[in-house]
Amino acid sequence: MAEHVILVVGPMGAGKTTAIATMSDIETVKTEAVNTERNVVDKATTTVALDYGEISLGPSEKIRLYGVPGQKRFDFMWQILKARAVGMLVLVKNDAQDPKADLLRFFEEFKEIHDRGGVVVGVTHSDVQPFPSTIDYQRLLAEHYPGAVAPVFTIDPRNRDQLVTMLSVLAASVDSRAMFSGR
Amino acid sequence: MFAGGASEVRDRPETVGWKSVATAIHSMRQLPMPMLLTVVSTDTQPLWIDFSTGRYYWELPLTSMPPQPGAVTVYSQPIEPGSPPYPWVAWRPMDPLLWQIGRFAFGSDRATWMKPGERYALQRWPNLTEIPHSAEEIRMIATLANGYLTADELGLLTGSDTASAQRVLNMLSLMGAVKPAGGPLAPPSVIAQSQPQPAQAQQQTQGSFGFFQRLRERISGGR
Amino acid sequence: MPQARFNDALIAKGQEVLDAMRFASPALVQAVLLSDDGFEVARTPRMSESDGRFASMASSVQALSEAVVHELRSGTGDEMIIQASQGVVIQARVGTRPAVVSALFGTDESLGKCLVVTRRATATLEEAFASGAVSIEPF
Repeated sequence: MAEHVILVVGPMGAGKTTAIATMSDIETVKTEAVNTERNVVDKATTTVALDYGEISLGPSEKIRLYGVPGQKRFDFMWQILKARAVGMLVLVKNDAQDPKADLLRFFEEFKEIHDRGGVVVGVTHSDVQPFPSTIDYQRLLAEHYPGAVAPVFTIDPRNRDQLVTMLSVLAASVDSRAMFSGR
Repeated sequence: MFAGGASEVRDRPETVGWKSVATAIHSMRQLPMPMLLTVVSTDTQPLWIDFSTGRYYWELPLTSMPPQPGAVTVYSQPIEPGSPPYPWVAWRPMDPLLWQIGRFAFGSDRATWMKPGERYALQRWPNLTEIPHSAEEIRMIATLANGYLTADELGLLTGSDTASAQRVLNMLSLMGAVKPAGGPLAPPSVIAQSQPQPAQAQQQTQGSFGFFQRLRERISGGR
Repeated sequence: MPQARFNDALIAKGQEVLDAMRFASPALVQAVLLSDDGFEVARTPRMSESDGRFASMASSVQALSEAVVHELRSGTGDEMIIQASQGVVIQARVGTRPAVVSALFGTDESLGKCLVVTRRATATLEEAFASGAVSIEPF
């Protein structure tokens, strides 16, 4: 069975669990717990281990989607999950306190996935807060990582078409990078 | 013209079609000060493009844009710092507008400011979730993220043709999403490996985008 | 030292129950009462260092074990046992509450005794929750 492991990362409340549920062919495996940090993000529950979903590409090929918990105290899960990933989707919430810092933090933490595969950034809640713009985020990444040209799109994690676009761009990025590196 | 102090309005002669609008847009990008472009046409509602914030205003949806407008007049004026024009209107991000104008303005002919044989690389991705696009266009944009390519080379590497590649380069260039190599540059090594036999190149390229192709077939019917 | 995230009654009761575990089984090395989302409520022994990392890990493992049981349609998870070369970790949810007890026992205690001690602790805590004596409120 050919497998492509894709991580969905980002801060708490960005929409990772919802995005995986939207994309997955199967009922997603969730590890939600009662959130005692309502002062940080006002959500009833939070992911404490991982979310898991699948997309079947055929009888012998599938995409495994893993959503990681967003809080730093679960970074041991990040280490476990990033080892096998071929690409990742980074979700940031545009109406968070400092979404640019959030993006940089997760990009840095998971940079090895960008280096060996591909990354696509999804900005949620841009209907509520239109800035920073996608161009602002791309400039930010280019400043910190010269040469990096990461796709940044506005998305609603409940919108399957938009998530299809993110995944398609990720797949095309992985393929084209492999082509240029001769793999 | 709008709240924010006096400013000089520069008239442009009447022109036909989106080609001149696209050329004006490209010229605005090269100016050091942010500009407001106003496009007036006999066929449709006035269009405003604010280069200071990268947004536009048009009363109609982009699907109503006529492919070939009649007489078009273009005005430009500088925007004073801290005085965004017409703050009461619902401005929208510019990417979808420029993608559309780029598509209508030149077709598969080279945009007026682009040089024959020039190589381009991706500088930023357009916001594709807000832009109608095809699988072929995704492949081309992803490929441009890896190095400087001519339209011929881009078509070769993506199993497409030069005309389609030029069309994508036109749209991306209008959006400021690609940068020219600015001088002679050797082709990437992958080009030599992809030289036709055309049938072989097609097969090779489809193999190169295998993951992408299978994903598209599965989740969006190959579109 | 746990943050002042949880109310004093819960911390005190949690401490009392964990200390009772140590009294019941001298082989107990360490025990933690944690919230579902990975914050430490109480621990024994109290003097041991804690950066909260173990509580986060325990919550992840608890959630994953319950997901496995759910996936296999085997009812509800009762206890989880991790048999290590130098001890055994027993972990159990407090009834249906958003709280978990995780305990490490040394090798000189039978598995049965470890399970009994842990079950008694979670049952005592469940009684305290049910009576309203303690609660976990969002911070």
